[in-house]
Amino acid sequence: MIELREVTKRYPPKTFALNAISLSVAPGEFVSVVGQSGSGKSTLIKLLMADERPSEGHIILGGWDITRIKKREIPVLRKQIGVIFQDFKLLQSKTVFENVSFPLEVSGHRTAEIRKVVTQLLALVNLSKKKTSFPHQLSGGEKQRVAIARSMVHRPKLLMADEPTGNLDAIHSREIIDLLQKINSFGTTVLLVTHDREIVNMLNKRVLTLDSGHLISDQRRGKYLL
Amino acid sequence: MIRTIVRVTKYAFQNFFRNFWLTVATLIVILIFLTLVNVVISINYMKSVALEAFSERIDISLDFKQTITEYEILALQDALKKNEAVKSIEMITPDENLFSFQSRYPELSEKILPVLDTNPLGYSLIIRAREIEDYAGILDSIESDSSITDLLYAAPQLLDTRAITVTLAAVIEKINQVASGFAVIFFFIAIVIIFNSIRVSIYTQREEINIMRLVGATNTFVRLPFMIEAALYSIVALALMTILAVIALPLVDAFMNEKIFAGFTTLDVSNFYSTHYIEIFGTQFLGLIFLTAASTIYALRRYLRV
Repeated sequence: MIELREVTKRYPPKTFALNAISLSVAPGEFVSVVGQSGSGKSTLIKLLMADERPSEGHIILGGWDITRIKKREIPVLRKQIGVIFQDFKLLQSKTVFENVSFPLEVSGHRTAEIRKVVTQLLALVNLSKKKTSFPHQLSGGEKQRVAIARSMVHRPKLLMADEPTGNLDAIHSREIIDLLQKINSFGTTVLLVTHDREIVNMLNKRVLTLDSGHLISDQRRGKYLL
Repeated sequence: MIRTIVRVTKYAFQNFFRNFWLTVATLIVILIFLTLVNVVISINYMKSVALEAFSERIDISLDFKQTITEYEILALQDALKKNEAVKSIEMITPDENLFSFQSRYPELSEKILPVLDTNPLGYSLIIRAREIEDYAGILDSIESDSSITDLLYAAPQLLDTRAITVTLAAVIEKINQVASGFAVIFFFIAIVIIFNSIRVSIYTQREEINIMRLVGATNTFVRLPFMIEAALYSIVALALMTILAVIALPLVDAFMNEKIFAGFTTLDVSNFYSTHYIEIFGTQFLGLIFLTAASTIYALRRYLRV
């Protein structure tokens, strides 16, 4: 699903966010990426969603080498991967339903089809009753569930979560992780970037540990090392 | 394609109404701009009305010797009419001149006229030019023609009149230059105001633009709602301006006619606007659409990394 070959991301003059990282993630895996602030976790997400380009190396997603992806191809890539963020990144002037349906609308899907998919996804994240609410009317956990529903509208093979529980309390964090596991159980590959020790240990799944841009550990059923 | 247009239009309307205070703030700025533009247009109109009224009061008066006959005056009138700069020539008979003199100077008339046996005044011709700057040329042609000046009773009056008309033409030219200068300066200030207003509006939505891109929206899909929203600003601002004009212009007319133009001429800015509505607001609409669209495209460049 994901393959990184000797990937380096360098910011001038001599800052290495990632340094010669090589790894691969198989389809259907649930992988946690852990590390302290500045270890390169978020840079990894940015490279995978083509928000930044690697300085060296190759990135292959689902067989597509996106290392030198063209600007006009980026929207196509982003329709194939789902991403959620710590700050939710919801459109504040749109309702829950509109936020979730937005990626489908920009892709030109039919209105009836959009209504069907969004209704199913809002049911999955248990937000059917809040579909006409605006983001400022939701709790943190609800906002993140909207973001997850939105990330799933294209039925992506890969879902990347960048610190999805960073702004949530323990109860809501658990809800979100349960939801990610549920999505993973449907066959979607999940890449969870976090520094939450409790969550990583509870998951007991594959853990990649980054430190100062280096991949220092890759455990099949790992624990939070740092 | 149609589906995309419908959706981006829907987003534009949603943005317009849901970002209420941002919309209000932007509309106020555009409305102030339009108000100032229309103040300049109104002042320009008032200036032209005032000048026209003033021009109507200027003429060249040729007072002929008592001995000149009506036949000679009519022949001269025909000759002068051939000058294209001449708009009209009015002939005043000696009797009419006498009546006018008696009306203007009743006491003097009582003392002088009984002493004289006959009417001392001859024929007069009142010449009006098409344009105020034409007077100098007409005067020159009359002065240089001895067949006319020999018939005149009071030649020196011509020089005085010419001095006034030449000065007046120069003053009008200066007024036009200053007005044009102000209009140009104001136009550039207006562009900067509108441009910055749209930029601020888009700046406040930069995070939303980034999110749209993150979830796969193409640049066109991000740009079009902002373009349509800019057009909405133009339409609504112009509608508000029209309402404002309908309310304010009769008040302006009433005030100007009572305080400034009383006894001089009658101002009707309301009528000017109603008869030139399409030209005035059509031009403003096109200008506004162009300005807001250009500002939107430029402001979005930064966030779309085009």
